[in-house]
Amino acid sequence: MTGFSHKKLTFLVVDDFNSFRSTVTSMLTSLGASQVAMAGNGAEALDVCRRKKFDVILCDYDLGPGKNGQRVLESLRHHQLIDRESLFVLISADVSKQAVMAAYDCTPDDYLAKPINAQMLDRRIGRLLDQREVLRPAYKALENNDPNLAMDLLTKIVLAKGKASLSAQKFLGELFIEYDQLNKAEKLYLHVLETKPLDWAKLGLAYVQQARGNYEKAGEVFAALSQENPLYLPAYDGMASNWYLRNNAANLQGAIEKSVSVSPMSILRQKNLANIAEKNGDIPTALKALRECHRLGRESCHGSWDDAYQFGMTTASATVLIATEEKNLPDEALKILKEATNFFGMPPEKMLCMQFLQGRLQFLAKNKAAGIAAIEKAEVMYAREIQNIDTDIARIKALHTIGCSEKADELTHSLIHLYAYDQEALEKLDALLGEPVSEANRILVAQINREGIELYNRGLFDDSLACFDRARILFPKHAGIQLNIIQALIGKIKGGDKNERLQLEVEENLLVLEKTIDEGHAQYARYKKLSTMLK
Amino acid sequence: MLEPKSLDFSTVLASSVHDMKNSVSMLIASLEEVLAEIPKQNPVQAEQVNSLHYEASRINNELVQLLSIYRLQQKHLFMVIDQHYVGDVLEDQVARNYPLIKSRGITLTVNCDDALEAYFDADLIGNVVQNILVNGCRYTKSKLQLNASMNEGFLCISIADDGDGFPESMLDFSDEKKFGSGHSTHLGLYFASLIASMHTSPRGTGRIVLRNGEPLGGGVFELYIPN
Repeated sequence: MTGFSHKKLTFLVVDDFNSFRSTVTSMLTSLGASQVAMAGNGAEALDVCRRKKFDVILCDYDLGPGKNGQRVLESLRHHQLIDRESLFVLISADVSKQAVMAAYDCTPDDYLAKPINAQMLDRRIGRLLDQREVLRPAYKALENNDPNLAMDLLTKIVLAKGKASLSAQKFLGELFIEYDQLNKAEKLYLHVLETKPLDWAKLGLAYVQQARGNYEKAGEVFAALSQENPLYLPAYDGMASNWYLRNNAANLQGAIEKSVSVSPMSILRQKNLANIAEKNGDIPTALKALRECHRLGRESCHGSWDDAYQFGMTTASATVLIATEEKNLPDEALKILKEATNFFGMPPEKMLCMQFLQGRLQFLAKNKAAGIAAIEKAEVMYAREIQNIDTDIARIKALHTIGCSEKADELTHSLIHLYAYDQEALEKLDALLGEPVSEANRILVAQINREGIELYNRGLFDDSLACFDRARILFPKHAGIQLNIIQALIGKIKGGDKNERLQLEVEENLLVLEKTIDEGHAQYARYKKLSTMLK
Repeated sequence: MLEPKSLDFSTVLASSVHDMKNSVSMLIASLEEVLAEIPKQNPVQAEQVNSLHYEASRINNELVQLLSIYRLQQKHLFMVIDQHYVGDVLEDQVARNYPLIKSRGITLTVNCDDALEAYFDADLIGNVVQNILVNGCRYTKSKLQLNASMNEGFLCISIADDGDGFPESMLDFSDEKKFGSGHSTHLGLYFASLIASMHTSPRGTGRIVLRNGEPLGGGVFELYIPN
């Protein structure tokens, strides 16, 4: 046997079965290894890795209660307990590498299907170590922030056509894209595709096109790839990046939803989904994703108390949903918050936020007196010292929930002055206001409006409505956007659309505006004009 | 009362196949340990453990195939064609079966150019090679030859033995005709031809061929993958 019979290498064997651990250990010993450590579960594995660096980690997927092999890898990488020098090999009884890999965020260096024996370990680990040895200088260059050197080294490895050339080629393509060497990347991928239509090369080429601004073409490739192999996660991630760049929030959500359905254990994708769904006003989807984050968070290093808080805040704002379909939501949110606080501990700076939120949820869970009492108690604490923007927002929302809207509005306006020089805080305040006060959101509204008006001027009423609707989700109280919607609807009617619902929609929208707009408002004249147009 | 009818049988089967695979893996690992510890002067016992080991490997292979076919059908498994070193894939399967080959005293030779590269799904083709190797161990007298080469755009992986060869009735194997008929299901051959046929390129479609004779005088299994 050749391979890795180096006494110097350090190994860690992770398995919940004692017999399997000792079997693997004796395999390694028979191959000449002298430094083999063992761990019986995920927590133990992390503990051992915190104290010592290993060259090779052999980890079973199924580790009994607690973290599984994938979650161990996720934590090791996240906490930087292993680097590119270490090898992580996942062992599983499952025959399909694809099925095990697709469900999670990160990919191990190799995968071995059980049953395994000493010879298999020898060959596989030997090959991996050989390859790592060849690629090491390139990794080192990257670590030293010298990507150009890394790319040069990888190019040499590819041209030498040795055993490491296939993986070096993939890695090189990714680096070319990352460091904006698009011509080189294109050449590499086209060269591969000349001989065979390989997925990874098609994907890379699509990224090149995307980086050049050719969004539509890149999007088509990502879509086709995910259709050919629905387990190919990079295609969905490509799709999501594509819709993000095309500023299409609805399709972006669709792409992330698909990736979540293929990769249900990926907490990071669930978090992305929750955020984009919330932005899109799709509260049920956001809540579902946050629920998953909470569930998965117990075993994942990406789990956090904030997921539960977000679930609570989203719930507390979903008053319509609570009133109609999901009466138990506030109770569920309270339970999730309690569980998360017990499990993760609450960040001390969030204590007041949490009290305001709990009060809101109690109020909404039909326990009004307790809710108001909790919020009043929090108010006392609030007054004791200067707070941050998150606590301010939690407070304003709590006041709204219990019906003290006037006080809440007053507070909001006083905060605009308080945070006048803090754009980040102003962005957070925007969500509570009729019109954005932060520069970023002002620009955003202006941009969406411009786009919508241009479409309107070209007679594309449906497209312009879609555009304004997007803006309204972001800024539901913005009078200008609401008036634009009314105008586009009227345009549609005058353009010959006989659908009676349009008329009703116009009236409903006018009614909403009537409550918020008065003679002093800058848009009042326009409102008056539009409200007479259909009469 | 629970209604057994409400269970989807194929789902139940798939998940219990998964459990069985776990158990068989443990069984094989233990058998290999026992094999390594049996003293040389006890050939009868060694032979008994050998057959246990062989049968356990066969069960393992059948389970792998069942699960793969199920997943392909359910669209939970997709082909991933990539460029691979053929030698690496063969080496993996030889290593996987090394205890079996060694305990049976079989001389295995591998003829494959180190630099031979080809396009295929390495997991699926690996499973096919694994299955044919275990079968070869059963039917050979003493020798096995594993060859791989590229001919006119087709990768050919072949396994030859010096046994009695395939019976006449199997030589014109075709999946429609043979699967499930007669006393054997020939699941292994069905699986092999299914995986082969999933590999296509402008040059043609993959296939398997069974024949007897050269190079060792026994059975020869050939797997053709278009490249």
